[in-house]
Amino acid sequence: MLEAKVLGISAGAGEKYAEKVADKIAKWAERREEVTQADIDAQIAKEVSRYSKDLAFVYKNRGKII
Amino acid sequence: MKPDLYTVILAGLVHATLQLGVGTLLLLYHASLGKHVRRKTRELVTNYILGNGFLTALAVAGAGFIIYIVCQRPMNPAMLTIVVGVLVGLAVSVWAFYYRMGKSTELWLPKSIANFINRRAKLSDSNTEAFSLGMLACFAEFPFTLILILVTANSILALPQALQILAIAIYALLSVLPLAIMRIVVRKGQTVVDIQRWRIKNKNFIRVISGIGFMVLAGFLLVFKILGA
Repeated sequence: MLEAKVLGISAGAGEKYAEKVADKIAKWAERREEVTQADIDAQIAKEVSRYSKDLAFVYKNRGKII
Repeated sequence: MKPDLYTVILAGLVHATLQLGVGTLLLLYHASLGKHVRRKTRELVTNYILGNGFLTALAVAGAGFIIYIVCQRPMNPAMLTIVVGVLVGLAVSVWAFYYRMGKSTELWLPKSIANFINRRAKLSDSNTEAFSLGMLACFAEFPFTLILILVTANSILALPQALQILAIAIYALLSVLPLAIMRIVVRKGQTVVDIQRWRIKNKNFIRVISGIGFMVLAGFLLVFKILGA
């Protein structure tokens, strides 16, 4: 939600994206026996990019600025 | 006098190519835009830039004082030869490992220090904290900038007294120029994402320019201060 605010995405839209992405990730994870944190992060970035390329970019580059 | 002034300007420009200050400012923008109104973010950024410039100017003045105490005048050619060697070594270091591998702008910093700076950027809510963050970013870059500061201080000692304070100000202003440009660019409407995309896209170019800058400065000192002495 914080990232959405930084990018000028409205709070309502941010919440909708978060709900939809969380649903997709839950369904994706159910089909797998094991998942790593890196798998989850990559899948989240992929799902978020459907709604906002900038948000997906921020998520992918978290902790990689310096 | 002219070679000394040009040395100060060149060292300032090389300092400006280094990326830790810019990256930390981006982190501050990112953290602040999510929490504060724009006016507060602008105040924090201004204080960050002031903190960065303040410590740079202080370091140059301090280095000048130490050189004067130790040598009683600007450094002799033998000492400058060592400085030239360090500059060449840093040029190679910048080319080789200033940035970590991968498609990001992660720097050579140990992860613990990068995480600490990240945390401080997120927690900077007051002007004082932003000022301190600016000083922290300047301090963390010292492994690469200390030699530039030393070269600048040495050149400033050779200038007439009336120009010395101005030369310190010129160096400090040049070193924070990218930060000021970023402030203007964000003010004009670019987002932190646009800036970070630009940094990733031009990462190799900046790295090459930075290394060339160190080499050119080394060559400048060799020609005008060592061979020309």
